[in-house]
Amino acid sequence: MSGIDELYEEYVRDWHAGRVPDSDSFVARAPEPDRAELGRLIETFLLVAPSVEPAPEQVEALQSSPAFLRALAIADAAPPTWGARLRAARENAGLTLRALGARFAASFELAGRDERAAAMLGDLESGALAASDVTTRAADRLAELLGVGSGALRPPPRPAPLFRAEDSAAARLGDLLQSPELHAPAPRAGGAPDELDELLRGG
Amino acid sequence: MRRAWSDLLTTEWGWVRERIKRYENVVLPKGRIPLEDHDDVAHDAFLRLHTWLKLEGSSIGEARSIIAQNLKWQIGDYVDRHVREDKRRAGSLDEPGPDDDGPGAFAVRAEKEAGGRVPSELRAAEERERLLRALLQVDENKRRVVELMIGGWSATEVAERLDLTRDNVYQLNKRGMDQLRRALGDDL
Repeated sequence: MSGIDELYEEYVRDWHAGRVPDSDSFVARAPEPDRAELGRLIETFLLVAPSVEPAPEQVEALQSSPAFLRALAIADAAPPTWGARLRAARENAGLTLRALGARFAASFELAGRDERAAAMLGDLESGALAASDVTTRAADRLAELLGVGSGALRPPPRPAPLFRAEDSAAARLGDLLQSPELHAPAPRAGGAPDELDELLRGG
Repeated sequence: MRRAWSDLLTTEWGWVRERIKRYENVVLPKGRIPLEDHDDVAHDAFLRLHTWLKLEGSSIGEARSIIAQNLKWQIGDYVDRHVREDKRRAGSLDEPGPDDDGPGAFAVRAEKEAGGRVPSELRAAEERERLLRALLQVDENKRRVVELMIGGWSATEVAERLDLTRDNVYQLNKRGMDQLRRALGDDL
């Protein structure tokens, strides 16, 4: 029986006991010529390893780990913006901005607008263009192209207009001053808004 | 959500860290993701997962396969960033930097690898089916050993159960794991 067989067996046993064994230390215990093979065995096991309830001492160690606590705090973070959701959906669909722009333009039969559509979608992802200006028709088409439910990319409502002074007026004015609309690129140079503007910038 | 997220992290954090630890790629320093970056890669994989869960409304219970996919993408992005930084250091000034605008490295790679699209529906059932398909590519005599060993049986218990010697068990396990590794090749 070679050392790596025993070590692999011990690693798997520890795993099932919820101890999350440190594979590096197991590999280091193997004779030098066998380390790569043990590493491969463990890596293959990890691809199919069952989820197990961590042992209490493991949970305790995790809860004192800054990295774990940082990951825990993700749940408390603000919900992702529309642009972040668009980007996540695009990445999960495995599409580049260019590919999505091309499909979006083609779906509305906008020949020759691939690159501009890609640029505008990029601006929407980054927040340079306001998501609230995206038409429902465009949002639903994007959801369809990305294979997500139509509600997943429904655009947020436009900010309410400031008709009269009220308690929150100052705060709302502050919000408006921060809004992407004010920082959005100038309208398309050299021409009136086209159909892409209508779809993605509300005209 | 916070409780479920905490449970998910508690169960899967160690698995993700171990996967990162064992990841090998020749373009990385010493072929591995440096230890000091493990936490960041794990964190970003969970961050990506969290956005995806909200987007899709997936239940936490379906998350293992999605974590694996997000981890794969996150590691891929890490490797791409590393390669780009390396090229910049080597003087390829036309190589875009990691923060340059444009599609994420993952998206470029995914499009290249998957012809523009990877499955958007990642579900536990598919994951089980995929593993089952991989296991079915392992020769039958080795498969029984591999399955039992992965399930936490000791070599002695497997030997008794299958009427083999312990040495046979170890040999069959190693060969079977090699076959399984090849069958799961895309996940490595």
